[in-house]
Amino acid sequence: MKIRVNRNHQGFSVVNIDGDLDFHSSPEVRHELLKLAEDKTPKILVDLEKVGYIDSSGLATFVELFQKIKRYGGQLVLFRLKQGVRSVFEIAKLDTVFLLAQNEEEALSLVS
Amino acid sequence: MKKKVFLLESDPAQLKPLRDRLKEFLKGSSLPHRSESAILVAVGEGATNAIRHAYQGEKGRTVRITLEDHKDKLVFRIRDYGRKIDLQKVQMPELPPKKGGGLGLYFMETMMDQVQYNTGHRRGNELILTKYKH
Repeated sequence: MKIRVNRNHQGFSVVNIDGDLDFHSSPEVRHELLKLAEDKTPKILVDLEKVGYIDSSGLATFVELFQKIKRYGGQLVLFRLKQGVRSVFEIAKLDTVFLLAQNEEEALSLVS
Repeated sequence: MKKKVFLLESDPAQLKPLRDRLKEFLKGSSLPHRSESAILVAVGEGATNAIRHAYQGEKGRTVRITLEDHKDKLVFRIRDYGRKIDLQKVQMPELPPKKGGGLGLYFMETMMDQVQYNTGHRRGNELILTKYKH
């Protein structure tokens, strides 16, 4: 699992996650993402292109992040989801809650 | 019937190797890709439950996973020897969820065709997940 956070001075951060998001790797991702929420990052864009698998622990990480950023009016967009990963969000009906985008350009337009 | 048994150590780091072995097993089963993804998530949730709840995070214990490839279905048995869990008492989560927990069982119920619990063991739990091929 690799996670890279690019903080941008225009108020958004792009997070690239590389690897499976499961009960083993989720705590590390959670730690990095919650740091952004603690800093009250206004706009968080998460690139999931290199995530081939997500389970309930992975989803829980995003649900927790979403709940935290909502308190200060932050926005979260997940983009470039693979079909299998997107299906997991759909089964949990989280596609109706999270902003999901095809690519970074669309993700940026959703929070601009 | 083709049958394979994996002995998994109760360590979250073993979940990825489990998925790799599952993928290998599923290669010859002529399942649609969508079903394969669902199986990976459901069996992963079952193994996670054993590690997280039955063994309460204690490493070095055994999770025995039996894979059966029948003519019309695939059966996955996830057996642990830890604390008994009454999954019948686990409530289904509110959807979409407002907090993280409780989704694992829901995923297993949604992604597989049948979820059964063998409550007959003196020690531990056995979860039986079935996916029909057609």
